[in-house]
Amino acid sequence: MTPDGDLPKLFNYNGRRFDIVDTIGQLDKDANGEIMPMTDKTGKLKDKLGRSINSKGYLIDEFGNVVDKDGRQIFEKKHLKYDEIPKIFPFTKFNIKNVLGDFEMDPLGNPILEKDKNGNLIDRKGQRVNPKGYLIDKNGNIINKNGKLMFINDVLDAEGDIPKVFRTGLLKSDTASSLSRLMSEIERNQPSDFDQEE
Amino acid sequence: MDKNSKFIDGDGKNANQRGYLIDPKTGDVINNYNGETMFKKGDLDERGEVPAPFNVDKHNFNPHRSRGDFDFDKNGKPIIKKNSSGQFVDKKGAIVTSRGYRIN
Repeated sequence: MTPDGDLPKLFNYNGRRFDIVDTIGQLDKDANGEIMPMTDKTGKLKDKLGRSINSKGYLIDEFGNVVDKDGRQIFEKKHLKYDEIPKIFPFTKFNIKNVLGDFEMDPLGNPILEKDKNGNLIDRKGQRVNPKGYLIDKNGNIINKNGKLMFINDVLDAEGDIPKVFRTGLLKSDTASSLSRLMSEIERNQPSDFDQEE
Repeated sequence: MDKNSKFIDGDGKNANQRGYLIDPKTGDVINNYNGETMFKKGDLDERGEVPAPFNVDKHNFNPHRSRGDFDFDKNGKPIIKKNSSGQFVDKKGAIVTSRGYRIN
């Protein structure tokens, strides 16, 4: 929590910060604290203002993507699990080196990769990688150096890249230095990126 | 916490400050089925949190459950009142932060 009792702004997969409260509908709750969505005559879930919501109470557009109160897309529907959004906080830790293969880069910044006898891309250690150089399993999911699943196919872009928020230095890459902790504190107290758009 | 100020879960198993089950000897996060190591202690951050995307993949936390029950003004802002003790409360009297999150 921030000092004034708010939740820190979250990141979406594009690295934009947003206030989670801006993504939820206005709903009454029952005695157990469970939300009580309303329905329109076609059976679609609505909040008290008549806006479309999903089963977890998030505002959605006509395609099921989660949007904020101004209709701006925050998460694609395919990135939800059981209608719930992923939570990426400023203090979330991620080190991209743990999911990259071992390779050199060409002058254009592309990984120099080889192919095995089956035509699969490999790094110089013979590990399977995708065209962006990320370690992958046989299904194309990105794994870390220990072979643990890190990113399923659904969250990768068309070129096999991981979501922007994980590759642009927005998240901490190691146990917090005093500087990164300070930066996190500053980030936490900033308004949503969406509030700063013109 | 137990009498030695170590975190334990409801079954008395060792946990860290984030609630992850740990091996009491190594501090590694273990699974609750067979005790297999899931994350080395060095992979955790200073809060005891597991690395992304495992910690990101928290689709189990819903903001509606952590927020109070409010009526809203015409601008869509929750109407947060104060009780006789000056604490912020929702419309059912539950204590909340000034931003509307439920607290104990």
